[in-house]
This record gives sequence, structure tokens and C-alpha cells, in this order.
Amino acid sequence: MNLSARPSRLGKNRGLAHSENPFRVMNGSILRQTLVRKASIFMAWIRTIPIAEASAELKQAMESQKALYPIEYATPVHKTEDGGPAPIVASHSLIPQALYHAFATFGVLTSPDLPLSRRQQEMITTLVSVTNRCVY
Amino acid sequence: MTLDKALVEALEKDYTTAPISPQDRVMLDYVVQLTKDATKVWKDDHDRLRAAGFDDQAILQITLIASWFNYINRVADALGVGRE
Repeated sequence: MNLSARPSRLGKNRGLAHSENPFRVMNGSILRQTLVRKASIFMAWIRTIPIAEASAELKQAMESQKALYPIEYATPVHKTEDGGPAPIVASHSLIPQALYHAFATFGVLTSPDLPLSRRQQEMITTLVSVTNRCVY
Repeated sequence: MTLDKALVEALEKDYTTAPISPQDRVMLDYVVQLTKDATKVWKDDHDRLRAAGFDDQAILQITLIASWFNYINRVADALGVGRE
């Protein structure tokens, strides 16, 4: 992001170079606060285990279920700052076997060897979420 | 996500008027009923799915994907994932 090339969020750039812009720290701070806030919105209300603190069992559970998904599902929708699993996966981290079995099930269900196209799978998941008014 | 934004918006607004095939419409009717009240799903809903071209394995896959997503929606909401 080139802070000097765009006006500050407060509209007070006044044509100043980045190094002269007294609001550059505030802009960067606002951006960081926004990103941290956005990341925190997705975090569960219960304790979750960061990837850096994961036990061998938890790491194996996370990796094993991930391997069951088709490659096109490899990119997470909600990325995390620490490179750990998506927040909804992390929300299961206090019970590693539940994490594995829950997400392994969905991984298996998305197999290209099964009848439904990915488009049909996504229509189903979209409509379930819409019907449940689920934000995530 | 492979669905284009316009289709997602159409599904969010009203899936019954979204530009989808008749087969997919039957599938989504079943998914919505399962989500709202699975006890109201009957054998004739399965007959409609079969008439639309889904075999038993496909019906099972539709059922399990929809059911699983109902599970994960409830987990997300109950644990506050995505909520402030």
C-alpha cells in the first residue's frame, strides 16, 4: 500500500509526501487496527489454540483433514495472520478429534468422484447459510 | 468460490427466481426444506429428486452436504465465529 499516493482516511494529506505526512502513522495505525478488528471478528468466543502452540495430535488432525479436500479448496476464504487454520476450524481446536472428524467429513463430501459438481455443492452451502442467516 | 457474484446475490435474494436449472431448483427446494424443518421432508421429495435426475448416491450427498453445513452454521453462530 502506497500511503503517499492516496489521501488519508481523514482527507488531510494536503499533497504531502509520505515522509512529511503527519497522518501517515495514524493511517497505518488505522489500517492495522482495522485489520486486527476484522481478524478478531472471526475468532470464536472460546479459547482456541494458535498453530504455534498446537500439540502433535492437533497438528495431525488439522493436516489430515486438509488433505481430504480437492485442491481448489486449498485457499482458505478467511485467512489468518499466523498462517493457522480458518477460524471455524480453529474453533474446534480444544477437541482435536472432533476437528478432524468434522472437517474430514466435509472434505470427503466434496470429492470430485461423487455426483455433484462443485457449482452444485456451492449452491447448497450458500442456500443453507442464507436460510440460517449465518453471517460467517 | 466458483459461483459468480450475480448468482450468489440472486440466491441470497430469492433462490426461486435465480437463474438456475430445473434440476438445481429441485435440489435447492429439498435443501431449503431440510434446513427449515427436516421432519417435513417426505418420500415424495426424494421422488422429485429422482425425477430430476439424481440417483441415491447424489441424494445422499445433497443431504449430507446440506446437513453438514447446517451443523457448521450452528457451530459458528454458537461460538461467535464471524460475529462481534
